[in-house]
Amino acid sequence: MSVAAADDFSVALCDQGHVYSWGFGLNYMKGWTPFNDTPAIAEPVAELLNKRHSKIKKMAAVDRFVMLLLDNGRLYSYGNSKAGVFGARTNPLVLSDLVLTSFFRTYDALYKNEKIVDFEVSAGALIFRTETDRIFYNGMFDKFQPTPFPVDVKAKKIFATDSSVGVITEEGKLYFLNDKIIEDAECIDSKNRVFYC
Amino acid sequence: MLLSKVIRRTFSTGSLFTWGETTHGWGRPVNNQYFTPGAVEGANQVVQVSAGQYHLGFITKDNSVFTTGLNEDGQLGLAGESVAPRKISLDGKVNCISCGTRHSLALTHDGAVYSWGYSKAVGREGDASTPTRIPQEAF
Repeated sequence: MSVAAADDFSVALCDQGHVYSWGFGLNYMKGWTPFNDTPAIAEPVAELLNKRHSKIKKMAAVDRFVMLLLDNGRLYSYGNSKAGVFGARTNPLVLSDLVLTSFFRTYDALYKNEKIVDFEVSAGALIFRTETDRIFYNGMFDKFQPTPFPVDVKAKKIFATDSSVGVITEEGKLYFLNDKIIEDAECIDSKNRVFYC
Repeated sequence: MLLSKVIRRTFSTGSLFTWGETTHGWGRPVNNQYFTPGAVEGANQVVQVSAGQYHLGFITKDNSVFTTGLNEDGQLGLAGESVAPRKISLDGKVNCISCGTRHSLALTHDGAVYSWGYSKAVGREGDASTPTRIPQEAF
């Protein structure tokens, strides 16, 4: 089982594979009950799983969206992200219908159908790793398509902060994509805007 | 301190480091912007951490739960605010905490889910600042 607290709503992925949601703030997402004081099965997710004949490998809920990685290697998202973590900018001020992002179709076209094996997401950024250990990120208000992580490394762990993404390698090196936290000149790859140690 | 040392120290001791804006604490003196990681006093043997909008929670090796930061909606799970992380009481061994915008969730080894914070977010009327278990049959 896993749980996630987002922007005034909560989501739980149970061992049986059902996704429950409760709380406030899902009223702009078609198929999600506007307010649940108790957990209820998220119908859009159930429909998606039935349609794809897949199970959920990993679930995340942050800000005003939910993101699901299915065991078929595809990533789905519902809700709104002004930072572009879906691979396209959506306007959070508009109460939109369910957003089943076209992110994956774009991804398929660009990267030959590679499966995603892991992801981390924040309100402002998404980072994911493919089956061939390639790492991509998007969001951060200016990357609306999956973008290769600028350093070719083998990741032990990937992570997303509110405004950036990073990778920790098998050797314990950390790469953090940002242009603000850089203070140690020895750790700057200014060409790629990567802070590393 | 070089971040490489920070990372090594984090991995070896379970220390917790924060950076960014600390308007509401995050275990470091408030009203500062930290561009480099700094250790959170009293946070040792940390095995999992989650950052909300203005608060954070973490779990230590002995499955204790600590929170720090803004407590406007009871998202810390106890009364008052404190720069230093404070332990909150939950039944059972907690293995995961998740902090949202203004509420928090905790999951125990035996599958119990606790919630606290903004009442609308956790689905309770009135003050919801006390961690409360969601009935098992709800899932």
